[in-house]
Amino acid sequence: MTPIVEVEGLTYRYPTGQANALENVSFAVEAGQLVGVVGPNLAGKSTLCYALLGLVPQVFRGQYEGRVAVAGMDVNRTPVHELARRAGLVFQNPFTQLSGARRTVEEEVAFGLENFGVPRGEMRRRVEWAMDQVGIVHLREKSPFLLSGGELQRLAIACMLAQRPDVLVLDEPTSQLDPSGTREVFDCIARLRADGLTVVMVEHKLERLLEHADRLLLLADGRVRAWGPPGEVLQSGQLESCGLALPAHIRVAACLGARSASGSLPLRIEDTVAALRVARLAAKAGSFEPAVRTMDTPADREESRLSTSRTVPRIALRGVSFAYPDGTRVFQELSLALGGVEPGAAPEGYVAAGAGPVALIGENGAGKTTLVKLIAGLLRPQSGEILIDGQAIRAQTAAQIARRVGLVFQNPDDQLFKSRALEEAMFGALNLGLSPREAERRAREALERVGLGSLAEENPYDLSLGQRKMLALASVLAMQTPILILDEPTIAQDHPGVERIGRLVRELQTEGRLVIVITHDMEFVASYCPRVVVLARGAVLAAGSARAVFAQPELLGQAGLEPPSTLRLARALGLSADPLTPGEFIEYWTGLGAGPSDRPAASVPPG
Amino acid sequence: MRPVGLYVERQSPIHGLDPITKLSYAVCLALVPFVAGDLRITFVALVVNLGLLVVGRVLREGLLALAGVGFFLATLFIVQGMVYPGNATPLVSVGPLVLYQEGLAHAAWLSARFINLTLSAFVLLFTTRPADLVDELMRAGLPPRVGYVLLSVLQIIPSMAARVSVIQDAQRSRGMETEGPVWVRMRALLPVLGPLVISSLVAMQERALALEVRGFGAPGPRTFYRPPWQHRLAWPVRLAALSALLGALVWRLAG
Repeated sequence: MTPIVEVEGLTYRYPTGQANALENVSFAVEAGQLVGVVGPNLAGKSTLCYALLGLVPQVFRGQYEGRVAVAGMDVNRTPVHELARRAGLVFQNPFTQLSGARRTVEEEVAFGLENFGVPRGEMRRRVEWAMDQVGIVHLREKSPFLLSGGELQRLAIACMLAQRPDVLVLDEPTSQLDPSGTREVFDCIARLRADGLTVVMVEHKLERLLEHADRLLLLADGRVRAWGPPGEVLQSGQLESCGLALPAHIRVAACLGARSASGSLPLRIEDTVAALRVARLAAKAGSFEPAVRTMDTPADREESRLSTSRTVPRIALRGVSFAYPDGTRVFQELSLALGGVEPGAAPEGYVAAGAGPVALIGENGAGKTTLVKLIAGLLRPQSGEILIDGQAIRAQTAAQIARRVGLVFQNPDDQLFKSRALEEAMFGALNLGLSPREAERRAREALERVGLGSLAEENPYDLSLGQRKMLALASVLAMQTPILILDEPTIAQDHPGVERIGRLVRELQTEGRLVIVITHDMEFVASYCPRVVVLARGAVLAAGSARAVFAQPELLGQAGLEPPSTLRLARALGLSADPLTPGEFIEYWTGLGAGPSDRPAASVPPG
Repeated sequence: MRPVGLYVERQSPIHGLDPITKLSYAVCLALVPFVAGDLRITFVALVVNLGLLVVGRVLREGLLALAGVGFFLATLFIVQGMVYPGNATPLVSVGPLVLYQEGLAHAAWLSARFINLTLSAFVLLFTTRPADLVDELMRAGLPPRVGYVLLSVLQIIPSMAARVSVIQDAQRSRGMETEGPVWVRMRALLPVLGPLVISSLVAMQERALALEVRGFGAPGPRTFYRPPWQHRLAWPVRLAALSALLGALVWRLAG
């Protein structure tokens, strides 16, 4: 079969670049395949996406060698608008993909079709179909500017789908989506592939990608480190050596030496379940020998040693009601205690999360960000009271509250404006009235903690998105507030970045600070947040220990969430335990005396 | 997010009329007093415009907006009343200031035309979404690039205003005070404008890429998602407006 995408010896350097963004990249994709592109930050993944649509080199210019052909068209010689008739690109930032000139979602979806002169009847059919594919039909009359991050991401995909491309290139299309939204996007892609769509997808969510991809392309420093069927790439060990985290169930299988029928590592959770069932039978036959060398520590065990219970919660919301000016009601009589007070010891009428770092989880639009903005004094409740360490915050300005509550926004570009990273990191500390010397000392310390110590003199806008997020975190860290709230800190971070944030959460807890994390990353929650509050449509569905909450799959389903994969693995195997991390699963499994191992396995990475 | 412009969301016969017809009407009725050169005709035009604001259920908004130019009109009366070249008959004196009848009459004439022009525009602007107007102009032949620039400005200005509020929140959460005396607010300006300008520039570059991929540069005729605005009174209204203008011309020539 003739490949629909051919990349041969592609080497590219941006006009202002010091090094090649892509170096001798070659691969070919056949029609109908799904190719997953993975790699650490700054690997060249987005540049490759641009190259497939001809934006590199036609728009970006720079030094270009090699050949890229999509649907038989040489991207270096075919105008982008011609390529765009056969290939679509969903950008990393869905907001900037909006035309900015359309009043409603459906008109936005139609924008590209209008440009291509598609007749109105056909256009209407395509718009309906595309909106239906990504589940945004109910948003058709809404302004694109009023959509949430997750809704925007679906809209961006719908815009491209409506153009009916043969090849669809997606640059991290699920980064802002909750677990159920992510699953829906992958299901949608699977349906479209059945109709012959070819997909090239940059994605950090390796578990989903391994389930769906026909080929994996692993990039690091602009070079191809591995290319081939996912099983082969997995087996090569290159994913780990490039700093990527294997899905938890695969780490379990790797550590226990469990293999699929073909002898390779299982790709899907169902394969791991089957492999472990076989392993259990082998163990009963007497061939088991534990192969595990190290264990990771689940969040709740780690924190149980660190947390001390309090009688007054760090944060208390008492009968809080809030609605936005447009009438959208978010909270009604919400009473919630965060930090310190155990669920059983909470005052009557309160829901308490307990001691230790707290994860706020829930589907897009559940009210998570609104809740933390209320706590930070950026929004004011219409009724009820918010207390920090027992003190009402009603009369304080947000800037005054910031002395006690540090809030790191999801988008670092809402904060950064200085020309040096160090100055940026000092901004919050200086606002507290600290001397420049003390502010600098704290800023340097914070930069070290987030791994940017060597980049203190850099311009923030020369940093990658992941680094800019770390810088925004450092600037709040330097304020040394007793409460720190992180809104989606792991988005745009590669595995080392996620681990660094996790370690930081633990360190801050040992320093006696309360950390609240808004996240859709359930593996992160399982590893680093022993306490969980589940929000759905402005109500607290559950609060308490992560283990107790994750053990209720129906409840999680109501909130559009799913448990960590080791827990799903345990459920599928009928285990009575609730392991939250690979280490805990393995500990339990080997304790059962069940597990194969005829060969030594790698140690379990933490987390 | 409030859209740019004066549009008021209501259900009315004027709202239902197509933007091009309303534009034609507004242009013709605004010109009628200038062409006729007669205060009586001007008053007729004023009454028609006020009537249409009533039918469009936007009279209150129209009068409130008109009050906004009250200061300008008051100044006009004072200046013309004092220094109009044809001033001869003193009418009012306040201390050393004397206002003349001829100057005040001239100011009334200028004001009537100005108010009529404003009300004509209000009939269009209060009842028409700016985006609908630009869309219809593009359909009528306005180059797509010009139309896009107009539309994107209309959409992006309120989006930027919303973004200012997000950035302000982000900086307040880093301890930046935005409430209080003027100097405190002034100091908060750079930390808000900085991210706004930088991220807008970055967004502009990314949007340009996205537009390419969405076929914005594609040659050939474009199509429109919304069907053309059709209204049974479109042509009668356009003809009536044109007739009014021609009638004013005849009045001027005959008079």
